Amino acid sequence: MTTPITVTLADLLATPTQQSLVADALGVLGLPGSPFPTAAWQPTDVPYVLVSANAAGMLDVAGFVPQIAAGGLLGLATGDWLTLLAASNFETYRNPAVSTIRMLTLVDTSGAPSTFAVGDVTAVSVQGVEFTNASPGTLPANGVLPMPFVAVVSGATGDNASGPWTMQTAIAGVSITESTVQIVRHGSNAESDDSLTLKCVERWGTLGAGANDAAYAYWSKTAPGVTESVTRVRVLGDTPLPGQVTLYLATDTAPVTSVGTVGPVSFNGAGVATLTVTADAVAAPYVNGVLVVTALTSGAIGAATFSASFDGGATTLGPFTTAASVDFPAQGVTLAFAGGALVAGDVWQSQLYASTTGLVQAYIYPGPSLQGKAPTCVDVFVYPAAAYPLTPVGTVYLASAATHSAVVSGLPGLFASIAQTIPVGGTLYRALLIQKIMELPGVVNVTFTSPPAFAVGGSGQITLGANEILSIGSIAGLAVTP
Amino acid sequence: MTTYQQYFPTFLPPWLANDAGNVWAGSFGTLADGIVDGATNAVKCSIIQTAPDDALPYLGAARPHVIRYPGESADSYRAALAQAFDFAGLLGTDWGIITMLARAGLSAQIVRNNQWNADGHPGNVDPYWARFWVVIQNPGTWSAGSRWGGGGRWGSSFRFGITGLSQELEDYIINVCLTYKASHARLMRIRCIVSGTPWGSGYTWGGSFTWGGVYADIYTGRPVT
Repeated sequence: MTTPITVTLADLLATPTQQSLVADALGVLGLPGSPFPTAAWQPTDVPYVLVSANAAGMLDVAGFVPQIAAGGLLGLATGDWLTLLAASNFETYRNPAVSTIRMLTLVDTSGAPSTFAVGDVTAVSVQGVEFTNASPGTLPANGVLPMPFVAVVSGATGDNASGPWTMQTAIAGVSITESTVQIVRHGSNAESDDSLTLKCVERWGTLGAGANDAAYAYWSKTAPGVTESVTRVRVLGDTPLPGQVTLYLATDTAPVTSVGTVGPVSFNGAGVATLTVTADAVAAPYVNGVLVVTALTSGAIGAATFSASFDGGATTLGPFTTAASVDFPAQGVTLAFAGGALVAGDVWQSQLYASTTGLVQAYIYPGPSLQGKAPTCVDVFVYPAAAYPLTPVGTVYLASAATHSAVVSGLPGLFASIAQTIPVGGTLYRALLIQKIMELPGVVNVTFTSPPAFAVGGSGQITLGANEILSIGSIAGLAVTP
Repeated sequence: MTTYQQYFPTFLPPWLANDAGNVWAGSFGTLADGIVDGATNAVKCSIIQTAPDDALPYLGAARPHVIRYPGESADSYRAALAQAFDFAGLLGTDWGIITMLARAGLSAQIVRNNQWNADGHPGNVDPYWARFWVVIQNPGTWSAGSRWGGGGRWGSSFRFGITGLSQELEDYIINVCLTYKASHARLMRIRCIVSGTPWGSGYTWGGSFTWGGVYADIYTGRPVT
């Protein structure tokens, strides 16, 4: 029972065929002493047909054998088998698809305030991607209201949506804009098999008495409260100095960004000069968080200059106009308003979005929360990865014009999938790019003139910086021609 | 336990329960038996104790901290994989490095920054406190290679080679150290001692420490800048 089996894994992984099952059956029927002349049977003979028909039925069941063999082995298991294996053996779970959340701004020209509940407004991008407002809010008369909108469809699609924006159901005197693209949660497709497999392997590190690189990677991917799908982590051990660890985080498509509402922010009173973040569900240091403050009555914040105090230091954040969207780099946010800037009776609303990096840092770094997982005396720095934009220029040559549209439409997805496979700080080889493009039907040659590394005489590879991920920009410079 | 090859013929009506009928029904049972055996063996592939040898690389890939040393037999590797939880507990520790290297027959010591004065920054002084060195003793099969020829291998750092230290074993040593070291700790050097006493007498590390003996560094970490 506890000795190794003698059949090989390779044999068990081999897909059975109807022919092989027929041969097995005929092997029994043709044993010495058997009354059946199997050697003389032709494929159309009744006995052979019956054996063959039975084999066809059994083939469906036999096909489960290689699935069972592969399903129990990390590296071979895929799909639902891998999902179960990861959960059962590694207490590790596949990240589901995540929908994009982005900031859009409602603008009132009706002269009357409007109040919206969650889901009241559906914005539609020029590509037809629908988003609904993820938080309630009141749009002041003749004012603006920045609000988070969540994509109706999960996945990375929402990241690439763009304006001009329209409202699915028009509201008189209200329009919607996106002056600056500000994604507060990147969308992701369901976690890939490769990513889940790696996460299972990294799980072992968390059992260690110390904390090795794998442990930091796993913690980064599984920090509670994070709703972005963190699938790529670069762990730079003993960096920048011994005793320190630096982490760079990315989803499958983009550097991580802000995520999750941990607000609201409360003011200590109209006309009083301080504003303090009071709700802090996870005691997170706010790294790259987004704070949105809106004056619902006119003339107040527009005349104010306010600053933020981070860890005792002061950082000027203003002046702001009627609304503010602020990036801030630390914890313990206090906004100080200039004296007299606020008017008694002013009404405000505000929301705070903690960042993925902040939540991860709070989970790992034994800082103020004293709940971090890193060993005593270790400093941990968590940053979003940086995008390295690649805008290829060149020519894809086709054997004929027949495949032109298929190749043109296939290139964006192909580039995106390649970018996802490059780890943070990894290397993109020209050969890989050419190989993948050549796999598109009808492609006979590929040349690049840019980036220089991919042009003739170039090094043939792009080595990303330690914190960089590959980001595919426009591929309009890649001509497709017969 | 009966087999389908034996079981299927029991369903035959009396008029068909003869030699020919039994063989005919038994042939159908053979296919079912083959599937049962296949499914059973397929499950056993994921169990360390019963997996065939060609499944061990997959079981090992799922337990990458159980590093197979060069030339390790399937039985030895299988036994080590069965201890994956024990080894995992050693991740991030000195003892993990020592234990893993001992599996390959290597005796190693971990020297921390506060145990000697390597470069004028002894003790638990920021930012030097989290540095360490790994010193590996000659397992009895190493000898000094020459600068040119003589069987020693040359590294990129213009060092004396060590005859008997294969590239595979060198890779194993480095992999063990980098896998098992705590992430925040900086591995400064892996020093393989060929002969002589690398540090004074009695394993006493002093402030005026001077390396002695014949050795080769197979890994050099970044300086603190």
